[in-house]
Amino acid sequence: MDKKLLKEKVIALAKENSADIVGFAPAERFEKDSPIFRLLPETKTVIGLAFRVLRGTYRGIEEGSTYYQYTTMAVENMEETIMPMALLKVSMMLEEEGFTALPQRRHQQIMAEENSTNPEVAYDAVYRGRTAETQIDFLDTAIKCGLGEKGFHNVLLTDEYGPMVRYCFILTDAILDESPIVEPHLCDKCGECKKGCPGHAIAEDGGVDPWQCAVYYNGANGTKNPFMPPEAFADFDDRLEIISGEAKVTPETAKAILDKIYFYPPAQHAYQCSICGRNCDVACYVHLEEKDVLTKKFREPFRKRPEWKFSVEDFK
Amino acid sequence: MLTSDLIKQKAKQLGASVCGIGRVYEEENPQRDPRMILPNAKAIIGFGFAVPKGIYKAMENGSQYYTYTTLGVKYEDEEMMEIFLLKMGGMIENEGYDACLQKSIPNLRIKGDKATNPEVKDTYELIHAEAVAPGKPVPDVIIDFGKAAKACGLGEMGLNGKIVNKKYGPFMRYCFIITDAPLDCDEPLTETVCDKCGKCMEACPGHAVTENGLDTWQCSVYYKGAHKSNPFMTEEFLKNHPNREQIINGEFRFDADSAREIYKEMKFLPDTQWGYSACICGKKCDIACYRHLIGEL
Repeated sequence: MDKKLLKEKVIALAKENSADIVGFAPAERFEKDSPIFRLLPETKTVIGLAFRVLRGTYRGIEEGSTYYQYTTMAVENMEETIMPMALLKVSMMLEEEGFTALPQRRHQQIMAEENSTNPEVAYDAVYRGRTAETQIDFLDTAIKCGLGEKGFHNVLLTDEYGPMVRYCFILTDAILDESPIVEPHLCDKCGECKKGCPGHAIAEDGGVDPWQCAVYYNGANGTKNPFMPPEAFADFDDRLEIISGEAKVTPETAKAILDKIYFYPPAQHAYQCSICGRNCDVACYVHLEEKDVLTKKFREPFRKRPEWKFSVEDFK
Repeated sequence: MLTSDLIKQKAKQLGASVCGIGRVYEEENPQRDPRMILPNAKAIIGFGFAVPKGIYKAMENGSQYYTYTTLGVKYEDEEMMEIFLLKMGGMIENEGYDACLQKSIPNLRIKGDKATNPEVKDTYELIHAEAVAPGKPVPDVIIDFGKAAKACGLGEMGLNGKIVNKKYGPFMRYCFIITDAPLDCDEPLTETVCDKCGKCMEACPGHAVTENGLDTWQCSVYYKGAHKSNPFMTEEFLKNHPNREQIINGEFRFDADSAREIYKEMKFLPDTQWGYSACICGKKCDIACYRHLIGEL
């Protein structure tokens, strides 16, 4: 099949299976020692598939009214059901056309690092130090595929949906015309993401402390958690610092705090329920919407009223 | 009007790589008999979903294992084929016929089946089950996927216990629908696909494939990574076990009890939802089989 037709077929099939943005990176955009060549040495093209996270899934946490929908629909269902379907169907089609295809999804519970974590899953469900399990750099690969640009807090920002996307890839030996790399133009380093984090997990340089993030993703900030009882963290000397989001955690203290967060059930596949509601991403989105730089428009702005917040006094 | 062509067309559209329609076949074991599931069954429709060979290549070159388990096993069986079956079944029932969906049941064994399924962390034999009436088989009735695939003309059971398809070899997973719809049927597979070459036997690091077929308990231990070729294995694995060397060299013979004892020590990669274990042997048997079928071995 002609490569132009094949590319059109990839895009059509990906979109039919819920992908919103499809980008193509030629192998030349990757360093020779890139993991993509360890995985599939014959890789000629990396296909990036981005899926929007519906803005409405953030609404419940924004309003403080419903929390479970974000984690189940915007994280678990997308990662475990929607995105694999597109990955497999496009991969099957490429192989039907005589090429080799290797789908790449995030392996949420496996990491090469010895002492890190993934805030989206239970810390004790993570298998660390698994260097033999090759994993690609998702953000870097997304940028090389032309899906979007890197935002200050190390997330992908797309022209259409800002940070409200999730993404995955297919490595293939098919040669497909490349997508242009996006010239960064969305992130103005405003710092709204940093201010939005209820646990101060984002550093001055935009780096995210995964343990700090995990603690507050799971709801350690009582001023932003409607499920936290007044006596929460009673055994901790610095309980008010934890509850106000001012505590600086270490991996050990983070585990101790996470062990005491029992106020809300986890989802399936080891996913923890997000209580912060990805407020970093929401703050970023609100800023981009105010600047009117996103191509996907809504009839109403996302933020309709000032953010709600409890007082730390309630926990004294 | 529901026709075989329409079913095959729809199956392709919904993502199946192959589809065949077989006549309901004679089955000696009532616990495997599709007619015990739908007494007036006329046809069994088989669907195969290819597992991308790129996934096997990543295991073969030792770079990535978990994608096979999450996408090639768990997702295909538990999400992709379930959604597919519901859509196909809906189409058949819209025409007034019954559609009895048959997905794989990974963790159950019928009463009397002492084997296991290496793909999951353990299996449960339905030892307490009783027939609900005279003439009925003991539940659950679980059809033999190998026989069903053959009846549908899709493939046959290979030496290593995997169904082998002429085009995709063992890189395919299956599901079925038993129906009373009067469909035109394909001929059952008569030609041989598995020529018993023994390449799968040679490739298995745990010597689980013999001339008599697959020793499922032996397979289950090495599937989960007991062989020294496991890149996640450290010196701590079975450090004080008296048979450590034999085990990691693939020379120890396991039965149900000894296999279950070793399972506890094998935490190399996480299990997935529904209890699918990470495949760490890299499916060397299937890869050898495929390479033989395409003339490389």
